[in-house]
Amino acid sequence: MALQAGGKRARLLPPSSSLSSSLVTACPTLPHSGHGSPMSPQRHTSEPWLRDPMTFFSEELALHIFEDLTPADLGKCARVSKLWHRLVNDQMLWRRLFLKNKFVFPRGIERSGTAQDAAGSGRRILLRNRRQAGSTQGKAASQQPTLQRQRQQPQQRYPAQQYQMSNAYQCWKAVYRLNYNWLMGQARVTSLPIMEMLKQDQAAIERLGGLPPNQQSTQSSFPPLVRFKGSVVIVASPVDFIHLWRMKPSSTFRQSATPSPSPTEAESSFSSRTMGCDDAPQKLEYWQTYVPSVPRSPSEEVSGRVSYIALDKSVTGSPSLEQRVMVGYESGHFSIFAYQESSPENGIDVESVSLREIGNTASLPAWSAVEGIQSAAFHYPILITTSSDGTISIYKIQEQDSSQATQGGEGTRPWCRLLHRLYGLATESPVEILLEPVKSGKEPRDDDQPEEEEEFISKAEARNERGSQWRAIVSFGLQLLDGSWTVRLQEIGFDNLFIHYSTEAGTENAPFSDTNNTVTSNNEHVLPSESGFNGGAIPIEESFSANSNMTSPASCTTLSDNQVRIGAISAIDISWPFVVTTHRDNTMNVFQMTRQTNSVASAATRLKLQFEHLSTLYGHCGAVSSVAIEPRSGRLVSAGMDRSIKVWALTLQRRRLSHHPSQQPKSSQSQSQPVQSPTVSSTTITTTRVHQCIVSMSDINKSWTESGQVTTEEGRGLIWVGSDEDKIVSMNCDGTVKVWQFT
Amino acid sequence: MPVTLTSLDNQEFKVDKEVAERSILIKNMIEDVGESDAPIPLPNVSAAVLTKVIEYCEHHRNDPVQVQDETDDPRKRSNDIEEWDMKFMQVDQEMLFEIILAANYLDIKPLLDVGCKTVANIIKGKTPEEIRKAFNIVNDFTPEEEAQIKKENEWAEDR
Repeated sequence: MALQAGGKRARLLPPSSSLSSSLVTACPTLPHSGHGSPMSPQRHTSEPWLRDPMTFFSEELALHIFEDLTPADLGKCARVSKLWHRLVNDQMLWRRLFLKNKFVFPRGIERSGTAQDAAGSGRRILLRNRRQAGSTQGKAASQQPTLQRQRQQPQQRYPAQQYQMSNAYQCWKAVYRLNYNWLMGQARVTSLPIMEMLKQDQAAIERLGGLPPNQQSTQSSFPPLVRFKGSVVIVASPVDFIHLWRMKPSSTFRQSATPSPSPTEAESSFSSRTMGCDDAPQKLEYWQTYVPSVPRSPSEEVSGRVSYIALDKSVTGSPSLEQRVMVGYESGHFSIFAYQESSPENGIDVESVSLREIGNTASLPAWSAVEGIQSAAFHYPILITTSSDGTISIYKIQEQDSSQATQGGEGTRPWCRLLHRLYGLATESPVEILLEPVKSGKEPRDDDQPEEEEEFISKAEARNERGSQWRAIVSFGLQLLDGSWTVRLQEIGFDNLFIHYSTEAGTENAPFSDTNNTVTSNNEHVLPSESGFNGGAIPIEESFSANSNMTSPASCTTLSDNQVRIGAISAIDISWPFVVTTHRDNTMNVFQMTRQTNSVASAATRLKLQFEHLSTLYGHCGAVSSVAIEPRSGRLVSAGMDRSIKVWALTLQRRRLSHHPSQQPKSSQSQSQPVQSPTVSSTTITTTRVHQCIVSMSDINKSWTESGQVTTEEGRGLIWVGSDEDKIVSMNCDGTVKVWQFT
Repeated sequence: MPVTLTSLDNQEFKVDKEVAERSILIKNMIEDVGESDAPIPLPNVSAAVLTKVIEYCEHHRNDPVQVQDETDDPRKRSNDIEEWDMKFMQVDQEMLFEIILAANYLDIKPLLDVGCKTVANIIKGKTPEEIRKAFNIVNDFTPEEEAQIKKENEWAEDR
């Protein structure tokens, strides 16, 4: 008996003849040609009944089968036949695998709307169609409403447009692969030996005809500083030049390696191009050198050693945009330069030097000096720096037109002016700053603006003068009386004219101090007019923070016992909502920031910043020297003197939380130390997200090093690590920079 | 109350409603039509396959209805197949494929999942050549092309 209407068996095709046609048409709407019943006589022959499941089943079912396979098996499936290759490279398959694995979306892919689970949504829509089909069938039992409706609407089955991908991740497979490589710790390593850098130093010195006078006091003991963005790695060299290196793109290699004659092969070559070849040679290529300009007057003190490099966080997205970089010096000066990567979009020639200095504070006629730059955060046009003498300075960077810059006469706006300066934060611990603009009108996590502030805003005549609002959170370590350390945060809300609040938060619950009053009292403060700025940098408002007493012994005693005590901090990183500290005793501590409504109706009704100890991370077998938080996923990357890089991912973990009356130090509630107190008043089991080490990569492992040989680097620890969504950049003691690429 | 199902080759199967409603398709049909003695035609399923499917539904008649809860822990969706299901799926490839088609048509998700996993298990751990052999597939790649694809997917290989 013949099949009446198109069932799934329409896909049962002779493998050879119609294969090409099924390759071309992505949509499996094939004519249900009159081949016989599926119960074909073949099965009674001695030959076993064997069919290609990918031609036998609809694509939907074929992908369902692939979904249950590992990437390793899928890699083998891709080599079975052209049809298999195409199906294995199906974007929707990788998208489902991606979602099934709960992978993290890299920057540039935003989840939107109700696509909370697209892996299931396809099936759900299918079910709906099936339901309709079934009901129709029930009413008119003779008809076969069939499944063709679903087949004809692949777009509807997978609402792909709910996801917007950046150009960098056009391929779900690439995104999956990136995450997979992170999970497996599979990276391609490109290293930049220090010798290469010294060579460039020499070349730069030769170009300049000797070291500039302000660069003489150099010894190569200080470890170089590294920052990176996109494919550009910025390194401060031993003689305090800033070298820019680029990851050489290997696209030319990829394209030449792929044949592309017929339409079907064009498809396959497309995928191989996007995926690239794993052994495509990646190289860190020298690009440019930035040498700070010589100060105007010879009497000006030297710029000194580079002590900090901060990248402009305001530029995200296209790498072809101009990037600004702030370089801080031990003399307290800083300079800012900008570079621009060439790309086909902006048409800038690869070889043309697109690096310019925006300004150097050593050249400014008037400069209220601070001590060496300790840390900085840069979000154009706001720059915030901390100095070793405990000041926090907030600057506004205003770029002039190039025409004005050449004139340099009076009346031009200085490229940098000081907005605010706060005193009283001298610490020997590392400092990191989180700086972000507050979204217009309402703060993202701060729904309630202080009322009086709102009123004031409406009163303010020169609203434009105020500029947008900003918030900075300065994280730093503080030594307690007993020699142990704790982490504290200082949150500063400000705009161009005022510091709105400056609050400090410790690991205890009570807010330590609130200097809001000092600010609101300044409401009537009249600002210097535009002409007042010709001096270069004028402190508009100096808000003496009430926190300045906190370093005195008296204030230490007021610290309650709730303080989390940790060891001396070797590095700190802050990215909402985490603050992570690393220690010489092989551990790291994770703190979580939260905002909670202040029950006490104070003047500032904004949500108080609080933070608590989340977990202590063990795993390094050497002093941990650096940590980086990947803000998107909350993933941590740490490096230590044990020459290992560890990746810590947030994982759900059940833990018993015991509520104690009061005295129990918070640290004992951390996941690492179970609560031992016998007098537990109540115990609840909660699931918390804590960091767990998922990958450990050794810097000495032969398979990771490009050359395949262990060099003199052996035995030297890593001193710096940074990470973005697709790579890790590390530096070891002797200054060798390595890029660990996961794509 | 038993439900009568009619297979492709006009064989009638009487099964409990509870068993038949493992199939979402039949469940929806019964809901739409209401109580009726009329046999439900299943013109896409042959008697041999329907026997197997009913056997599966009988065994799983008391399983809790699977909610479409894909947001669950992905690790739960492992490739482990229950022992009974594993035995149940020990059939020749034709029957296996037919069961998958029937499960898809009748909308019996657990059976579909088990079927797809069984096919996946056939593929698992095999070299491309072994996969071709298992499914009688003609290799339409040139050796160069195959090497190129191998290179492409090196990142996923087990180490």
